[in-house]
Parts: sequence; structure tokens; C-alpha cells
Amino acid sequence: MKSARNQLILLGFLAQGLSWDEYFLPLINALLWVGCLLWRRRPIRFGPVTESVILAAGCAAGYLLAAGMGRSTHFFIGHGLVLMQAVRLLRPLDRREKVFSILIACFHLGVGCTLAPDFRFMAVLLAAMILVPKSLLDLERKAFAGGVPVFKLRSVMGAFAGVSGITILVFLAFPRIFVGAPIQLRAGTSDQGTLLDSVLDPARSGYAQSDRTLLQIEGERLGPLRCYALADFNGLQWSAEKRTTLRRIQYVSPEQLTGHPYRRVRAKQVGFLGRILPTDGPVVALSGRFFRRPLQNAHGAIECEAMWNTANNLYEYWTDPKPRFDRLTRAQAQFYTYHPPQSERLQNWLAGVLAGVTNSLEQARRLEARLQTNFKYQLGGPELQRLNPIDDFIFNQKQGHCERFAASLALLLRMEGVPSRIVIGYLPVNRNRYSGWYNIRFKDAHAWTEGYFPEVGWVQFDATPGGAVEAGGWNLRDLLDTLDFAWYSHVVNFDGSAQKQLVISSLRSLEQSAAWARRESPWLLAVVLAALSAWVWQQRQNRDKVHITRSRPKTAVQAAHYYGQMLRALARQGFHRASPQTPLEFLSDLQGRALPHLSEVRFITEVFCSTRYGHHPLSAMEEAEIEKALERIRKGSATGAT
Amino acid sequence: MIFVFTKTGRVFLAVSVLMYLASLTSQSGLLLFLISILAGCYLVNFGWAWRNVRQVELQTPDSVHISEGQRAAQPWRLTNGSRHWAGLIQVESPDGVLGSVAALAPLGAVSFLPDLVYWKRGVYSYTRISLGSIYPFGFIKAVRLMKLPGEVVVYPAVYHAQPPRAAGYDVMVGGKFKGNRRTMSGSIFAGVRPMQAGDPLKQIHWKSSAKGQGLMVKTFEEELSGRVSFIMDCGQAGDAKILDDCVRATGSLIFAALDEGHHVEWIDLKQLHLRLIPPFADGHEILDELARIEEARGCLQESALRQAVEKVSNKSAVQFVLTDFNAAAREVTLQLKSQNRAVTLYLPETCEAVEDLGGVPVFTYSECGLVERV
Repeated sequence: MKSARNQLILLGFLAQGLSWDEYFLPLINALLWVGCLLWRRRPIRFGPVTESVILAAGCAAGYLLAAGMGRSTHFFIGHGLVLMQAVRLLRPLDRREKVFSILIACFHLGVGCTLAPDFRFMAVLLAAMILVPKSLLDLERKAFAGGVPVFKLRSVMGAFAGVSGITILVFLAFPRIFVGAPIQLRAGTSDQGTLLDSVLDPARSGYAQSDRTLLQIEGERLGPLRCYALADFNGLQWSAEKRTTLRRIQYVSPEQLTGHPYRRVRAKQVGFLGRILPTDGPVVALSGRFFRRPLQNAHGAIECEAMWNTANNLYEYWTDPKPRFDRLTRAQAQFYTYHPPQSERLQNWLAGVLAGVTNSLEQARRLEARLQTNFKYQLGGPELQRLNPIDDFIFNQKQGHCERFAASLALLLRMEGVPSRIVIGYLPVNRNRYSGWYNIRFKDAHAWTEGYFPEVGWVQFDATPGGAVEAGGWNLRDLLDTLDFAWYSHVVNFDGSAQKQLVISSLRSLEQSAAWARRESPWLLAVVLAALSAWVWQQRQNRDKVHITRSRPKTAVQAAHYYGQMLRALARQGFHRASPQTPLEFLSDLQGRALPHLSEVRFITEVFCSTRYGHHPLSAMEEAEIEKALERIRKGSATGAT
Repeated sequence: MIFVFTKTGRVFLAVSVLMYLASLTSQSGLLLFLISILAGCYLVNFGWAWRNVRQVELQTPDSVHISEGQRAAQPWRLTNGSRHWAGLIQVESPDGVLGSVAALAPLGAVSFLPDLVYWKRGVYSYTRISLGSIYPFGFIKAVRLMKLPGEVVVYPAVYHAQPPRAAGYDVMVGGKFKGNRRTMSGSIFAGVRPMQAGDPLKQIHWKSSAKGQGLMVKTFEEELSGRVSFIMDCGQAGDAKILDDCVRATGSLIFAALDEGHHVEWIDLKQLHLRLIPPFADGHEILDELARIEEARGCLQESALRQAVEKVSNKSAVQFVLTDFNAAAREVTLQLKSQNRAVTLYLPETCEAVEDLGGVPVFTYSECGLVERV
């Protein structure tokens, strides 16, 4: 387990496990790794054919299981390789196999990298930054020294520091080319119901409570972000207009944008946008690089002709703080007020609620308040009656998710002759305390109602009780979100424009530093001179130390010391070395006599000769071996004496 | 200084390129981080290997003379001139790795015995020795050609051989062959005879002279040594192995002849330069020249053979040690035989059977021995 290569293999296992899910398979893979290493008391060799079969079986199992369980099948080869690596953990490998195992580990890490996991993956990458070079170093040094590590860690610390520094530099400076992959849209305006239902109704999908972040928005006083409007009501179901007019955005020149609310949005899940750019007001300027030809529809939402993934899916827009509204034509008014005749009970209930109120706007407010206070917000409530859903909701169930409240209010407004529509979008409720950005998650999806009043235009009403909105946030979570944002924007999606920005800011910092240095030049000069003097002094000190070291190599002295101890121990046993005898002559002389521990004596003599005369450094392992051998010789001496 | 990617380096480079291609379509830039780690390893490897090779010096012994199948016995020394650790250093020659050192302490030195076994005779110059380092990650190898003075001269491995037939015996003190006559000097005492006019006084055998029969002088057995000429072909067969076998056979025969106390003359058909070797000569010079013989095709021609035969002594027995046997060799052999010269043929064992050459003995040589072809 201490081997850097094995640790790198574990990292690969974890990274490959992420292709399945965040916890289950990484944990299984980690347990497999531990099991294989603990099992390896005796090498288990399966042979190349069996290993190939295991690889193929792993690939097939990975593919079939992934396909059967609705997971990604792209990485099935990686699962097979995990099994093969695990099998090879059960036996010692030759050099070629070790290189191959490092390659496979890199492949697994590559799989993890392509998945763009969250900032926790940083720990894996940092570990890889140490373990990849260390595995390679171990591989080479063992090949050179016959399996004996001969370097002290201190001697290669510089290499690791160098690799780390260069890694960061190369990562920052490496030319980024992103060909891009066209995204398969989950939904567009044509099939928006699918997306909306999947987001809003938990009975159909799990996104309603999902914490996954969809958008991150920078801006002040952010309003609800609108995506779609459902204005066509057939008596049972609300849907988008079949034919809606799209018009160009009325752009305002950059000079006139001062004072307009500015928003910068980062879309993390472009596939879920459905060619719609969520905005929180009438847009007067819009820019971005992951969509083409944005147009504004009749309900104020921004629809694009096409969208694709880029490294950073950013767009920015400015809204109009004092928007004008277009008056509805007679036909539009008829369209927005259309509703089939409703039940008498509902009409009576509506009349009762609005008793005494004549102003349309006030009537709408009263209805909004009535629904908010007397009804209950609940996700995943039972289905409404198909024939008369609103009656069922108002009189029987009195609970549901936001879409039911929005639909009910819109119908009630239409019954009162107020043009209305349902708007689907997101509520920006979570603002990160550290970054200041709003995090829009899937669970922030919301539906509300808009009513049209000739004197004020379209007015928003949110009849949903307060349960839909989760105010505030947890500090740690904000911190993690900030980390996540920094991770994705500065690491995962670090692109050409970010590189350019980095260069510009670096140059600016350099200019500022130069200006500061010019200002503080006397002090700076003094500090530099002091540092230079200290460096020169240290160099001289080091040179003296080196002289001492060169004149008396430490290891040679140490070897002579051990050899002397051995001679003394042998002398106590009656084996005296004659002064003209060389160590090897003395050894050959001893070979002819009955000396216990002759192998220890031979070992110490050979190490002494190679260190003293061959100038081979004495390794720590050899020192330990010598001390053990000396101990055995001394014990033999003591036995002989008694 | 040369930098080359090692096999591991090439494999990881290919993996990096694949990762980069994958990153073009991947939304994640993390693959570039992985590539950056490998790039960091490459750059650090490049810098450290370069520093290692630049700072480490190699001290070699002067020219070394060894025989085929041996390794140099003198230690070589590597010295690290820098204040940093050096490691994964290999001392290489085009013929193989001479030695490798895993780690070398700052300003330290280490001696090692070259691991390379020289299996083939020849001259291995130190100018082709290089110092390489793949420190620390084994991706890039920095190589510096050392251009050191000196060389390893690998002598052909001579083996025990029956001494070749000699001719033209001359009197020579120490000669292994006994003549019929008595001489005044020699190493084998034969007896005494009465002193005659002209006999040197120092030859008087005083002990027998004291017996009263007049002055007696010592006589010795006549010692003779023959003359053997070797004419060697330098690779007519065009096979380096046969040439090496031929050189080994020539060396072995020369030493066998010298041990017998013969005068040896030898000449190779490429240079046609006659070397005279007195009996009981040291032989190092012969081995040195044999080690340096280079292959030369097409030298087994009649003109070259005749020139060689003219250069050697007329009285000597001629030994043709050839790598091939062609019409020219046959012609010259038969001609010498017709002149009653003692001729012997030494051919490679792979050579086809030679037709009857009128009683000229034919031997075949292999890698490690001589066999007479019947």
C-alpha cells in the first residue's frame, strides 16, 4: 500500500468509479483495491490469457450493467481495466507491466477528468501531481539499483517541486482549443412541457428537489427569471402558444447602458435550458458565445436559434429599469381571457372571495392572498381529477405544487375578465455570501401568474404559499458553492479568454509592482543587498562544509568504523588479523578456519571494501544489515567466551 | 549533448497526445491538467538529465587489453561535480552498457567495474563512449559523447593448437628440435671432446681436462628451429564470424609455432606487410595486430597470393589460413607443392570439401578448435 504506484492505481479506481456515481462505485473500487493488496500474501498468477478474459468480462459487465441501469456506457473499457489492474495487484509485476499499470491509472484519471467532477476532485488531482512523478521515479530507480531505493527523499524534493510548478504553469499557458460538442437539447419551446414537468412536478422526475446548480448569476436586485409562458388554455391544460411572434431585442447603445441593471450568468447545464436564456426583465443588451441569434418572444423570454457547449457558458445582459408595455389588442385580450365555462360552485366561490372589491388589480391581489393563506404547498401531491381539475384543487385537495397555484389563479383571473398567463422560470433565492452570485438550482424552478391591467401592463402574482421559497443559506454550503464556482470557472473551464484575462491582469500587476519598486527603490535596494550578502555568506558556509565532506567521506569513515568493530569482535574470539593482511586476505584466511558467522564477516568485509576503496555510498539499508550482522558476531563471541 | 525520448517517454507522449485530442471535444479542461503533470515530468526530466550529464565526469583507465569473452578489470570512476544529487546514469558504448550508477551524491564519486563483456575481438575506442542520464523520471535521456582518449583492445581468444608443420630448420639456441651435430653452445650438454685450434678458452671443460688427457671442451646438442609462414586472408568469405574464426585460428597457430621455437612470418593479404617474429617472442604485438584486422573482401586473388609467397622466406613452410577457397588459392597451392614447399591449408569448417591437392594437408577451423580434414 505504501507503493506510489499502488496509490496511483487507487486514485485511478476512484476516478473510474466517478463515471458511475459519486459514492457507490468509488467505494467498491477502493474496497477492491484494499482487498487485493491485503490478499497478496502469496503471489497469485492468472496468466495472460486469463487476465485478458477478465479484462473482456469486466468490459462486458461494465457495458451491460451501465446500459441496464441507465448509466453512461462510454467508460465500459475503464471498468474492465479496473478489474485487470485489481488482478495484477495480486502478484509482483515486471517493469513493462508496471509502466502499463501507470498508464492505465492515467487513463482512469483521464476518465475522471472528462466527467468534470466538482471541486472535491481537486484532491485527486493534487495527489496525482505527487503520485505520477513518484511512481515513475520509483520505477526507474528500482530498475537501476536492482530494487533497492537509493535516493533520499530530500534529494528528489526539488523534482517534485519542479513538476508541481511546471504543471501549474503549463496548465495556465497551454493553448486551449475547444472544438465543442453539439448538445442534444432536452427540450425547446415546442416540447417545453416535458422539461417543465420534469422540473416542476416531482412525480415525473427527481429534479424538483435537486440541488444541482443550473445557473450562477452575478447582479443586484435580481427578479424572477422567466423562461416560458403558458397562455393557451383548453379548459384542462395550459400550454404555450402554438404560434408566437419573435422579435429582435431592442438593443441600446453601450453608452446608454449606464444605470441599466447588469447581470452576468453562467449556465452550468446548457442542455436543460432548452434554447431559452433565462432573464429577469426586458432585455436591452445581450452577449454570449454559446448561442446563436437570440430573439425575444411575445412573453418577454429570450429564445435562441441554437445552443452549444463551450468551456464557459457565460452570457451577460442588461435590463430596462423602466420598461414600456404594449397594449393588448382586442384579439390578444380575447386570447388571454379565454376559458371554458366553469362550474357554478367555482363561480359562487369566486364571487364570495371577491365580494366588495371592484378594482381588477385589487381583486387579483385578494385572490393571490386567498390562495397563499388558505392553501398548502406540497410537492408530489395526488393527481387532480382530469375532468374538473381546478374544482378538485380549490374545493377538495387544497394543496399542490406551484404550477397548480399559478394555473388556478390564472383561470380565476380570466373568469373575472383579466387577461392572464402562467410564467415558468426560476426564483433567485440563494445568494452566495462569499461570491455574491446567485445560485439557481433545479429546485428553484417555479411557476407564477401574470395578469394584464390596461393602466399598468402585466403584473406578477405568486399565489404559491411560502413553502416554495427557501430563504437564507448555510455558510458552509455557500463556501462550498464559492469553491465550486472557482473550481469550474478557473480550473475546469479555464479557457482562452480566461488565459487572456490572466495575462492582462499579470501585466497590470507587473506595471503596478514596477511603479511601487520605483517609489520604494532605496528601501528595496537595501533589502536586496542584505539578501545578497546573506546568500553569499551561506554559500561560503556550504563550501566549507563541502570541503570537510570531501576530505573525509562520511560513508567511508562509517564503513571503517563497522569493520573495526568486527575486527575487535573477532579478536575476542581469537581470530586476529595480521597487520600486512588486506581485508580480503584476512577473509580468505578465515575461510579455512572454523569460524561461525563467516557469511556475516564476508558481508561486512565486502561492504567495507566497496565503500572504502570503491567509493560506493553506504545505504541506510546496508548500515542496518551491518549492525545486525555485528550483533550476531558479537553474540557468537560472547558464547565462545563463556 | 543529445536528447532522446526513451521508450517509456514515447509511450507517455502518445498518451498525452491522445488526452489532448480528447480534451478538444471534452467540456472539461481537467485533461489538460493531467497533460500538464506529464509535461512537468518531461521538463524536469529534461533539465535534470541535462544537468547530470553536464556535471558528471568519467575517468577511464588508459588503454585496456583483454581477450575475447572477458570484461575490463580496471575500475572506472564517475565524479559528480555539482552540488546536487545525480542519478540514473549509464555509461554506454555502441556495443552495450558499460555500467550504471543509481545515485551519486553531491560532489561525490563512485568507482565501478564495466559490466560489458567483449565477445568479439576488435578495438573499442573510448571516443565512442557516452554518458547518459534519464534522471529522474525516465522519459528523456540526455546523452553526452565523452570523446575520451584510450581504447579497449580485445585480442582474439587463442586456443590450444597442434604446432604447424615447419621447414628450413636453422641452428638456434633454444630450438626445440635436435640436430645430428654437436655445437659449442646450447642448452643440452652432449659431452666433451679434445680441444682443437680455434676453440674458445671458455669452452674448456676443466673437470675432465684435469684427468690428464689434455684439454677437453664442452659440446652441446645441436638445437634447431624451423620457419613457418602464415598467409592470412582478410575476409574473402564476407562473413565477419568466419573472419573472426580465421583470426583466432591464425593467432592460435602462431602461438603454437612460437612455443615450438619456430621463426614465424605472417602476412595478411590486405596489407601484404610481412611481420617477422622471432621464436619465443612475447606475442602481444601479434595479438594487437590480429585484433585490429578489418574485413576486406576480394583480397584472395592470385596476384596477392603470389606477392605474399614471394615476401615470405623460401625455406619456410607456408600455412594458408583462409576464409574461403577459390581457384586462385588452389593454383598457388599446387604451384608451391610442385616446388616441394611444405604447404598446409586451414579453411573454415563451413567450406565445402576441397578436391585432392596432391597431398597438401587440409585443416578446418571453427570458433574454438582445429580439425584435420581427412
